Amino acid sequence: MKNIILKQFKIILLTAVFIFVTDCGKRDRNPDVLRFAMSADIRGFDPAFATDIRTGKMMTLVYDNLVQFGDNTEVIPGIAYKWNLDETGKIYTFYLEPSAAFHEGSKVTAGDVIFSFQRVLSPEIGSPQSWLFNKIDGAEAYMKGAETFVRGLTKINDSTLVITLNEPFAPFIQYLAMPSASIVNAKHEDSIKEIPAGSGPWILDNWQRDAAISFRKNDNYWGRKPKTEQLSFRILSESLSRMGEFEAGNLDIVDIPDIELTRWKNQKHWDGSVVGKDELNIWYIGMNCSRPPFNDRRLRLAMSLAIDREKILSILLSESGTLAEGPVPPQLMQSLQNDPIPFDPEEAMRLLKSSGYEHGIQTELWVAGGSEMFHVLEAFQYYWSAVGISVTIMRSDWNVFKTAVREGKPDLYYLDWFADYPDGENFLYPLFHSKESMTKRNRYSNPAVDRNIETIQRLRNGKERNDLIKETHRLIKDDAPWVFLWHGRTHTAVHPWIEGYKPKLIFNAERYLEMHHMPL
Amino acid sequence: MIQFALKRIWQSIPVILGVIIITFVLMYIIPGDPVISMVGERFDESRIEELRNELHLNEPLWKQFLVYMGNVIQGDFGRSFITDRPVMEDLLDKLPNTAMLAAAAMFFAVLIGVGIGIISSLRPNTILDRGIMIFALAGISTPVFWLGLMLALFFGVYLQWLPPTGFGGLEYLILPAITLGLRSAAYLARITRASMLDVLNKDYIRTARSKRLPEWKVVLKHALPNAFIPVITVIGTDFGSYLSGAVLTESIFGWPGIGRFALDAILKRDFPVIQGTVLFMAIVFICANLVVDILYGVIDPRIRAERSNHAN
Amino acid sequence: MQTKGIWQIAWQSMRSNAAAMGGLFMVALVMLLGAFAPVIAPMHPATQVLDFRNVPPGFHGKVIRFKYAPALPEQIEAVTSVKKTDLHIEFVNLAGKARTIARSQYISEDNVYYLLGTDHFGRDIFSRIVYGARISLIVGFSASTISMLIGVILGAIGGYRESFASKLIMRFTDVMFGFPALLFLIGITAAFDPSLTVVFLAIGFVSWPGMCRLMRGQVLKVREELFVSAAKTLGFQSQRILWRHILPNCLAPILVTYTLGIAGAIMAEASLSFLGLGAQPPTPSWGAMINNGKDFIRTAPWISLSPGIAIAITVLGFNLLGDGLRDALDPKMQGK
Repeated sequence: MKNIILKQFKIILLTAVFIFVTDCGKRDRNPDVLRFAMSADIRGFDPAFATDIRTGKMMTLVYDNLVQFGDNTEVIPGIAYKWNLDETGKIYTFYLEPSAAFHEGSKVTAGDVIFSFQRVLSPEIGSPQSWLFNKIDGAEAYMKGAETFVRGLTKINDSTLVITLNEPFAPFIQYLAMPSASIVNAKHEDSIKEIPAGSGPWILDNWQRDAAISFRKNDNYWGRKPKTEQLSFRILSESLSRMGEFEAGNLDIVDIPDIELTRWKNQKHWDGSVVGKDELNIWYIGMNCSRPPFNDRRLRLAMSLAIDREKILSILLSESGTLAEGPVPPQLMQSLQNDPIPFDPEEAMRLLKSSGYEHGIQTELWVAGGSEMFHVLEAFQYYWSAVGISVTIMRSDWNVFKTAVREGKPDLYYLDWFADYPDGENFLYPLFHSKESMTKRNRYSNPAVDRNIETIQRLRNGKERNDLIKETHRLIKDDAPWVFLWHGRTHTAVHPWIEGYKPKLIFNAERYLEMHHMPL
Repeated sequence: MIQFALKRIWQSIPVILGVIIITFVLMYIIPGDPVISMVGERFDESRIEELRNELHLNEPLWKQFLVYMGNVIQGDFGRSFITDRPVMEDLLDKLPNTAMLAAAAMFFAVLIGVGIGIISSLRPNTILDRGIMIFALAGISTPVFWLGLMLALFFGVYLQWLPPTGFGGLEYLILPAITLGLRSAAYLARITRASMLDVLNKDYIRTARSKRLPEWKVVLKHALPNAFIPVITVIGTDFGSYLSGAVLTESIFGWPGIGRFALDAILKRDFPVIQGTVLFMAIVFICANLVVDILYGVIDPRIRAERSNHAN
Repeated sequence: MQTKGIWQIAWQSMRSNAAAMGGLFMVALVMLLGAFAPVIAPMHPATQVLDFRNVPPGFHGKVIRFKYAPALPEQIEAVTSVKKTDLHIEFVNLAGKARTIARSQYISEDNVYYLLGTDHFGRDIFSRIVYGARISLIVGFSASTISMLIGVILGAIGGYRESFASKLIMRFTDVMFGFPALLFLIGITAAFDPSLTVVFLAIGFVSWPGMCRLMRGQVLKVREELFVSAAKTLGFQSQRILWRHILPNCLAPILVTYTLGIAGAIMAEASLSFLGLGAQPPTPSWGAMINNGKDFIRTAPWISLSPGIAIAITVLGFNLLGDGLRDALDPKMQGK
């Protein structure tokens, strides 16, 4: 008799399982939608607060800039179809595209550009990106509240704009292509965090926090229109889910984590689907140069010599990068003699001995919680321990980490730097100029380097500037304020049904205008 | 009855107040400057000070606390330092996801747990029963995060029956629900068995059996309802703790629920979100216990619930 | 004494309980692993052989062992060939690169066997599991001890006499119950620099309320029993009554809760380490090992597999033992 109950129970169970499993059919692929994944949500659609790469990538879809980045290092027209710089190197004149219009239909005028730039400088908005525009004449006075407008931003007429700088500043034109220099529709500013107020090729369709963001094509876009109808970005925090979704055909394109690279490269099935691209970035270990033990150059050099970066790069990171010899990525310096610091533990031990640390060092290496490539650190730790440098890894949250670095607390820290714009200057001034390094980073200061960087900022593009970048790069390499690790190379898997994907050098150059599904 | 309910509700107010105070103090101890997360890589020193003032971060702790309490009473949980969204809005966004997962997990747990509990109780001290009970204890002893990973590996990667992790349609719900529900299932199996054994030895069951009623009728109509009281407690408290967010399960499966939201906030030092979610969770958890207590009072005033909330 | 009798009966009852003995066996096994870790483990848990990264269980490999200097840790490198001269040892590693070390630095040529495979740094998983037993046991015992001390003291005060203090304690216990326990733990550990000490202190300070309620219940029950009243009439001081008479009578349930508390603490440590808030690298904590393997779950699932089983066995052992103790010590069950 008892068996009946057991039987009934089994039936219920089987039915439940059946219902579950039959419901799991795969969804059909819609050729009008490009499907992507992101690892986390964005901060919002206010360009003034677009400080991270993820958010920046979204800005470029819904907003336009005066100028924008091309596929490589070039700057190409945006809202401004043409511009020129006078011989003083301080006065820019921009001619705006007359047909450019915001999503709701009104024209984009010089007044809107001025509004957008002042907005970033405005003390009420409190944007952390005000450094983009503080070289404009009168910007400081405006930020302090001494003046109600920025002197250097002048509207000649609706489609002509003049920007005057305090002093010649070569990277300025590239600043204008950055996410925070997006042009904002003044009329819709109040809801800008939630709903983008732009003129870009895409219009926000739906934003489900921590789950998905979708865009539809702007049919009235003034410029080149996208070749596909919709974009969908799903937020999948685990790389396991991103990979699983891609393999199941639910995503069209996905970034492959380094740790899975070998698996993808070895599978015949994915031949031709994996696209690699060198990125403008550098991973490094910063060393506090202003106090013992790492104020001694020999010791800093020993830190580099003790680790086999080549082996770590090839085995742990599956060659997803190139060895860095100094701070500036090779793409940003015309010719290059690649001569990275070798792996030489015996030499590292000699240097330790000569600088008085023959019995070893005990120190801490700080790292922020979720940083990518975090897993290589234990290999460094092990290599250092082999020559007597005992390093404790202090993993902390991003805020704690950044506060500590800013205050100069860690002896060692592991960090990366991604280019805001494709120029060697972006890898020099914010990282090694003593004004920045002494207050926010690893307390490195070299007057010769400072002087060079200031000259680079003034010089126009050309051989003289390139040579100076190379020279400064070498100076810094010799000082060894960092352990220069590598410049990253990302790998992307693209399904064969996608056409028109082309990797871009700078993250916000990708506007998904060309990518589309192959016709069915 | 209503008096009892009111009394329990009244009693839980100081508990919630205590939760707020402890969270607040904890916030104060946590190192790291939240303002740093709001500014980018190239920030101005003066901007940081401005932001700190704006957020009242330079005021004394008690003052910050009073401001916060005032807002909470008005239903304002503050805004995230990072996204600038009202915490309440985010919580309400995430609650359906968490509720869905909790309901599915509980459904699974009741189905399996009560089921095998009954089976076990009908054949006490047989190999089947022993096996089930050891299996149940093994279920309780298995780390949730490991189980989730192994399920994702087996069903998601090897068999490819289900998406390994992620969020989307119903098929994404199954693995996390099983992962989350297994502990409860194991617990329910133990409780159901013990309770059923207790009831099956009672006189009225013997009477029913002696009347030659079919066995399934005896079990389902007479024994089960009486054995269900302690089972309901477990369901209630576990459901309460699921609703207040399953941190580990949600973070393994990338489930955008309250648990992961809270974990993210803690790791990012997003103070208003931490305070808001912990408060929210505590209220949900306390309410769930309250409901169980009151239900209990209705069903059987003699028994008292005594169970701790376990990790999930 | 009478108590001795109870313990003897309990032991006999335990011995006839197969599940409890199974639990005892598992616990003993893990303790032995932890105690004799350096003897059992074939390698130091931090030793990396990058060339043997992510190799599956049962892998054999040829290596050379050496040290840069006598005081420095041993290095192991995978080799294809080794040439010895009087002064130098020259070996070729898997990438085909030749390296030379001094004869004095050389230790041995060796064949290593990876029973459970290696992790993403080429560390022996078996050795890490063996050493990891120490971490789990240290945290389990110390956290459970802390929570027992807090719980017993507060519970005893809370139950012994109605007073302001006792009311306050019970309210505080309620508040602690109101917190989602794991989240509370995460919050505390995140507030400090992560370390093993922080972890077991945090677990200890978070998990006492159960013990506190139990103790209070026991004290309330025992308080009513006759012999206490008898002792009171004889004029003993209340403190002495508490510690001399009530405590021994509560020992059985405390022991059961303590044992189950160890299981809970081990699980909590694993959870925190899994989230990266526990022991820091290269400490071989089982939870952290699962976390490390998480990224490699598709390519090297064995990294996460065995530490999970290790946790499950250990926790199950303590749970079975605790259950067995309860059955053996619970007078109600003995009656049956």
